[in-house]
Amino acid sequence: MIDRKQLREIDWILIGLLLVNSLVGVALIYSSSHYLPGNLFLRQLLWVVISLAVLFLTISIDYKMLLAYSPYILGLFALVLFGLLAFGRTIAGAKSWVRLAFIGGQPSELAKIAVLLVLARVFSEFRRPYLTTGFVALSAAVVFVPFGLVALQPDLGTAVTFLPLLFACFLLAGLRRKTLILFLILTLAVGLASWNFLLKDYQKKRLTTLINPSQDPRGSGYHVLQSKIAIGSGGLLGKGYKKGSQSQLKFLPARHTDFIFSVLGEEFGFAGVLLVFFSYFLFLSRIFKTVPKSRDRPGMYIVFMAACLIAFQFLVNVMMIVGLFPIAGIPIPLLSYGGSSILTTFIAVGLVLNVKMRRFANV
Amino acid sequence: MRIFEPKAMNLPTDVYQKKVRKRTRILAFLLTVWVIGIFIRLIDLQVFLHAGFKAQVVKQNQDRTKILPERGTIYDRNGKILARSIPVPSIFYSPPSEEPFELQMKTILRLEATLGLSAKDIERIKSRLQKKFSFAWIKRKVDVDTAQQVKALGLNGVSFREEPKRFYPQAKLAAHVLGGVDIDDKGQSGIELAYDQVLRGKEGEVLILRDVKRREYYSEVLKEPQSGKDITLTIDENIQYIAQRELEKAVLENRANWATAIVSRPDSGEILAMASYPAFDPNAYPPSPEQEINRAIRYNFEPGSTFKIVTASAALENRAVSLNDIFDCSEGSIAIAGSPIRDHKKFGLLTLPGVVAHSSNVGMIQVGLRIDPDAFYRTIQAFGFGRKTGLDLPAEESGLLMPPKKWSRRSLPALSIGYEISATALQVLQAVNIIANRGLLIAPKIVGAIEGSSVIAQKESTPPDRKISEKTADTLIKILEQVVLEGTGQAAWINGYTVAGKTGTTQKIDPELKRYSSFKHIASFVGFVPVEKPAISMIVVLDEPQKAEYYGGQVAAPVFREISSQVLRYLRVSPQKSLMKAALTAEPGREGER
Repeated sequence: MIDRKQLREIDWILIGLLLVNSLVGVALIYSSSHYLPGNLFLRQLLWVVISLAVLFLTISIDYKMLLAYSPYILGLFALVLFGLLAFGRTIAGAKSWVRLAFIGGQPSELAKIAVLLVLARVFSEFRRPYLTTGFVALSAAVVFVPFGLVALQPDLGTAVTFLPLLFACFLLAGLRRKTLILFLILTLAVGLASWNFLLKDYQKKRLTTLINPSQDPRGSGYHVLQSKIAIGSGGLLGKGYKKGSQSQLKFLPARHTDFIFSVLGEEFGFAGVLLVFFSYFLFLSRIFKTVPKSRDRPGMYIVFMAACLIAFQFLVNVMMIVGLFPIAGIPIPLLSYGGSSILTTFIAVGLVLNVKMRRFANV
Repeated sequence: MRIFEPKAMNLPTDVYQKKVRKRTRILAFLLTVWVIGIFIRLIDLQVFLHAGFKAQVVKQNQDRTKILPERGTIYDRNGKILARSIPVPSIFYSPPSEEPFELQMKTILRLEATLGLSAKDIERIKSRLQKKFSFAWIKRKVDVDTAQQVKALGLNGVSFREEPKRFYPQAKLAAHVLGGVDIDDKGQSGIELAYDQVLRGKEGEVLILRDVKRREYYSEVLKEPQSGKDITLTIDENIQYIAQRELEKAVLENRANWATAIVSRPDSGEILAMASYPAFDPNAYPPSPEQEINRAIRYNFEPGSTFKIVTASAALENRAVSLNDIFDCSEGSIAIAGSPIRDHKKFGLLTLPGVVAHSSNVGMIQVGLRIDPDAFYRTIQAFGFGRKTGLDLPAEESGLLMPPKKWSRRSLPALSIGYEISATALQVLQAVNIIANRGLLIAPKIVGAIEGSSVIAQKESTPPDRKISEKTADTLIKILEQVVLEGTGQAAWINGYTVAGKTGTTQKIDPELKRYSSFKHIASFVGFVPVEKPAISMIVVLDEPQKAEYYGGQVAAPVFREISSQVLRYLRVSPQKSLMKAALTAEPGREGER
């Protein structure tokens, strides 16, 4: 399936950028957890190695083949997610974990890849210059199934990350200005409706403390406040590696997972944040530049969605930790500790590489 | 299985790619705006708000705590410890910030039984936690065993700190002199209050760094505490013990309300014992307000007949009376401003010594009426009445003495027998000390030395104040000796020693009837021993003795005798003579006085 010619087309620079960012993550995880048992940074390193292997496996299978099987893959994930809701154990307040022998993971993370593939297949068949309402409804229905199943776990943060995939497709398929406005109104309406009917009290509290975290410094505002204190006290140059008092003294919650960026902000300051943004920018822009180079429509959609998925999670996480977005439990791709997240991101990049290396292949 | 093959595009490839480029740019633009928004926020947090957040970091992981200095020890004159501070564990709570309030309260409630926390304690801690305080005392100054039990529970956020606790090893001994301290070891009464600044020392300060669970991981002493100074009292533990024991015995025997006794050394003014009954245990401070009153200095009463010492001195000093003048007391009564004042018995004709010895009111009023009011007033003042003695104890009363221009027609006769004037027991004793010191006033003192350096030596560098002539004092001493030998104070006589003294029995004003009561009395005796070179002087006061005998000579004089005889033995004052009392007086007195 893979020939020598295509092998030469592998974007080694992109893989390099991927690994650089992953290793930055490992270093930050070491700083924020070296005093905890379990050698979390080594585990993360192991996950990077495993994910790299999976990435090469992803490259080896032609993405067209993956697209062909995508409905079955999504179906399988829907089943697993449903099974989780029915039989799963609640861990940290949500039924999101699957445990097989010595290895565990969150299927909701990998489900993002399944959704990505199905959407790529669906939208590649769309031929009109601009998006139609019927098609919006159809694609939304596809995403709604996994979204609903994950939101019920309840893990709204992960569920929300399915939405940028859909939005990316809409954008690429072509949006009229009118439609864009309609979307905004719709989003607002859904937001208001869910505030009144859907959101649970703790979720509402997260939103209100976003506006005023000091109203409840020990309660739901605690995370935001401590994160802001960590980043703010880091200043321009930071306190130095492993010298952040907020993270080292455990004032900062979820230091090695959702709040790893606060550790960066505290220990390396604005300068360090800028550097990581730059390295992330190089990584993402390389993916975005691949979009027009794709051989066919599904390829474009795959690459575009992969880029959006990573960019969205990155930006939402950073907004979360600087107190501009409710604490939603969205990890930062590549930097946060977590096998499922790393694996998902690597597979997404694998798909990008897959598309890019086959751009000259004959159909 | 059908392998999906994308169909050919409708648009030419280059046109479609152009569109895709445009749409990618739109997204890139949106993302850039987003990133710029985040950057503005980051710059705001990390540059403009940096100082504030840095301060917050300091606030949440640094504590500046005071180090309490060691409070000075209080010793008696022989170096026996009366009060000292010993470090004991105190338990406090630093709520872990990641725990919700409910979990924090659960931790506190787990200690409820072990520490015997009251509902009030729980409420206090709860309100502090609700107000987000990072520190709350759970229970202060517990014993080591209890602290060990709590430690064994290993509760999150529960910590210990050593705090000095005041211990009074002798419990009730000299409680009124020592006073007590509050939970912060701050003096509340007695010497603890009067010398609080001296005893307390200066606080130190320590910087403590803590992690999120409020665990200390670094501490640095910023300022060393300075220990308080030790105080040595003039009180003698043994004499104090004797006085308290005898006083308690007398109160119970006579069913009195309360009693007080002061033992002093006339030549130095040092107070050897100051007892008040009921007493309290300063280890369990505060006592009830009733128990806490130091009656020796905080209770004003009309001295009554003991004041006749002052009247007699005034008469002799001002040459208003000579020792040979005869006063007719045969009526047993004298009319003053229309109402009669009586003696307890008809005495016949008496000289001044006889009037004092038998405590005749009729005779003493005749003496008083001969004295010029202004001269009398000056002598009363010279004896120290109407103003505080200046003893180093808080809340001393000054008594009440009216100037002559405010006197009524009754005042001079009333004053001559110790009414229309109020004084504390200590003031009366001070007046008698003037007699004992042959006319010299040596003010009473209770603090002997601070941190080993004598306070008395400094005070004595000023020459003692002569208040009455040596001749008058000598005469008075002889008269007071007669009181004990053949007058109303015979119960104070001690075999082998020469005793001088004066009895007093005061009618109390009934607060309901607003006039002098025939049932409520204050019985007193004041005197010194031995007469030639007084080793001790003493006053004993009993309030409302309930038995048939209520005269000072019957109730207070025996207490004087009991305490004196034991104290003289303790002080190894050798007896001067071993005369039998019977040889001197044919009829041992059942005499009392009014």
